[in-house]
Amino acid sequence: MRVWLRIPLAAVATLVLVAVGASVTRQLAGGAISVALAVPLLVWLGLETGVMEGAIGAAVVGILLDGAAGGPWGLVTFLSVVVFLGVRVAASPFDARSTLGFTILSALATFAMGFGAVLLLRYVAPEGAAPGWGLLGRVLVEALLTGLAAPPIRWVLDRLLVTAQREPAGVLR
Amino acid sequence: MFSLLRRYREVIVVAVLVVVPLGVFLAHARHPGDRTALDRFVLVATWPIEKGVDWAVTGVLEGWQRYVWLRGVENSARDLSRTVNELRAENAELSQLQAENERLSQLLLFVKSRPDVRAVGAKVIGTRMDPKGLQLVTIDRGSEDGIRKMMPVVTAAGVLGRVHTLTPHAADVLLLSDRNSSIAVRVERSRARANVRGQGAPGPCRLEYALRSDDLIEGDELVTSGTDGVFPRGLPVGVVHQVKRGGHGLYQASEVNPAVDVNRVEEVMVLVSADPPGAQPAAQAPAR
Repeated sequence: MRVWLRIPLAAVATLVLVAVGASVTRQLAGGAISVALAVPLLVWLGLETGVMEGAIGAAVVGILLDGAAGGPWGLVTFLSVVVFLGVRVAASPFDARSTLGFTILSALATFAMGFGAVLLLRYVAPEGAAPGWGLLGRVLVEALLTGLAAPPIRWVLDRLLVTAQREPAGVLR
Repeated sequence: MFSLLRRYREVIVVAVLVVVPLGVFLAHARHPGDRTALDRFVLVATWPIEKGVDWAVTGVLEGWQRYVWLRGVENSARDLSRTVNELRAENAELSQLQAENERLSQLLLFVKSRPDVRAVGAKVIGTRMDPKGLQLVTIDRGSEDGIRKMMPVVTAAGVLGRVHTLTPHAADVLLLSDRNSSIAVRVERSRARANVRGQGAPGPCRLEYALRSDDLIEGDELVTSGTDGVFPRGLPVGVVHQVKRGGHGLYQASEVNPAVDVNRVEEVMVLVSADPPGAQPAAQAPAR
């Protein structure tokens, strides 16, 4: 019961984090910088949930992020599931549940999502409409800021999405 | 078959979750359409949260700026305080000027209402109301301004006193509240005559020589009768305050509240062309 509750709770948390991110960046920098507050949620799913639950949760989060991003459909959903899997893979060799580990993973995941989005969009977009590599600087800043914001988000998620069962890291068992 | 599916359930689900979005993306990325229902749902769902967060963040930031991060506020407050003090001083000065303007306007109106008299305006520059001595105020006009002894001194409210001592550029005015001052008056309502004598202190004067049979009630207004040789007729002197009729005697006694508050006089008019002060002062002879 608790396990299945986490997916809708993750969806709600995504909406809240998207809204908070949009509002905070507007307040602090007027949109000059961005922060992807929902990515630590994907990292949290990768660390704290099982493969099935986490993958579905990541897909739900991705769908909502796709809706919030307003870009081509499926891009962020795909990247979210990939990031979730990446976290599970990356978390296995070290203690990613520490605060520092969570922070680094969140920053890397954010950068990976940004980088992946730029790559895929450059691949599909027509010449001239494709995002430039200059966007990667902005992605890097976004990754750093998201990493900094990750610990408090994790603190909230730990209390909101009750940890039901910690499963061993790795994609397959 | 089913056992195989069950065995690789996780792999299959994950693969579907990866491949389907990617396929959808690749299929539609080159032809982006309008916003879908889900886009609109996300917008609708996040809008109130954004608004709430915006309200909260704004509150926090404003609270921080207003109540915590007060660097430079002390200097600013000091500057503002100085400005406020300067403006207050300026305001006080302007208020004073306005009040003075009003008083002078009233004096002017008073003089204009009495075409039979010519007046010289003066400022009160000193007061001496020692209970052991005379009740005097000093004005900044003297004999060189055409002022002579015994000339009546008035304000817009009424009689203040008469010129007592003269110098070329200043004069002492004996107030109606002095014990040596006696002004012949008439009751405005009943035309009954009497004298108003000071009691040696700012405040109520005494009504003298009012016949017991005269019609006199509390609240009666008293004006100069013009019979004392000092004050022209019709200047307000005061209001009857307490009437005391004894069981016997020729006169009735009363207190009079002067029309002029001698403690607050600042500008006065000396009536230089009123009846010449040749007659015996009322202080030395009753009006009747």
